[in-house]
Amino acid sequence: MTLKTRTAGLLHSLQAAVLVVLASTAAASAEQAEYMGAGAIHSPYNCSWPTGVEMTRARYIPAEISDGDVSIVTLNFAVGGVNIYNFRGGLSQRRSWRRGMGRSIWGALYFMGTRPSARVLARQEAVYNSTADVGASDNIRLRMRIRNFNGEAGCGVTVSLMLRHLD
Amino acid sequence: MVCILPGTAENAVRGAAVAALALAATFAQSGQAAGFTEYLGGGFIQVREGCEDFGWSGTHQVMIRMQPQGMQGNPEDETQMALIMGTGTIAVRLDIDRGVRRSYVPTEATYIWNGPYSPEEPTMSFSFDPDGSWLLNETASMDRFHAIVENFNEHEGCRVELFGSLYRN
Repeated sequence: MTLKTRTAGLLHSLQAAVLVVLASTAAASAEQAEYMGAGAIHSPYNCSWPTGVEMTRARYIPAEISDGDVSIVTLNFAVGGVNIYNFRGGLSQRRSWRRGMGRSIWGALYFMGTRPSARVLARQEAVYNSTADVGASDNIRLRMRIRNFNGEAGCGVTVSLMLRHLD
Repeated sequence: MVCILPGTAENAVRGAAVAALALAATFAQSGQAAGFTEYLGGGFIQVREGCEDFGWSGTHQVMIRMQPQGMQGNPEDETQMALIMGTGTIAVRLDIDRGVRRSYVPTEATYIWNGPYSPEEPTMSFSFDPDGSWLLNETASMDRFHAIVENFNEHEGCRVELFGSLYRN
């Protein structure tokens, strides 16, 4: 690599880095402890969308470490659009379905009239099979099946997220 | 608690489904349909050490696309991986030919912040966690992907960790 290309690259990178610092500061000043990351939405059944695997950014506020008794999962899809799911209580791994409420943003804010429900398939340490200790575990995996996804009655997907604890 | 605007079931279904249908028509072609094997997903980058001077700290959301070598329709000697972050993208080609316990420097790397920057000899390297998902296992899921990245973004001495959950499209 020549000095010239190296320097040009560093300059480009540094310009980007200024944005990065600002973004990090914003996240750190959030008052509520939460997890942040991204993942895949896959295995759709009976959905007009998605029809394959979708990438999504995600945020997760566990009831266990929030002020209220509500867990919130926010999916910010790569293709644009947002789903926000609220469930009463913690999202520990459990076979039963939890009924929640949902909102979506696609040009406008919609309330999901067909209420979503979710089954938590896994809430584990990022790499290992052990159960995550929410709040204490820094890196976790959250995998859940969601019914009535995106407000569409009968549509089921699996959401697999990799998340980092922010405090 | 966030204030919720009232709406109707009709609104929700109609609005969401219509928007979604348009998206599906535009983006839905999977790798399989296109003749290659790809994995899509995401996770986060956790900045570890040596990155402060370059302006990097904290946690960053990242979406990940991967085309592992040797899988149906993919080259035998080249794995492609794109890390799509909030403010820029890093895309690399790697030849992961010596198993999981080695460190790999990309044969080609492009960093896109403002313009594209493709160093002749990239220095960034990837070490894959043997306890995590291995890229070349031909399973539908790669849901515990974990790598240590040295010289992240070509920043000498900057180390980050990359975590992700990906699924075959």
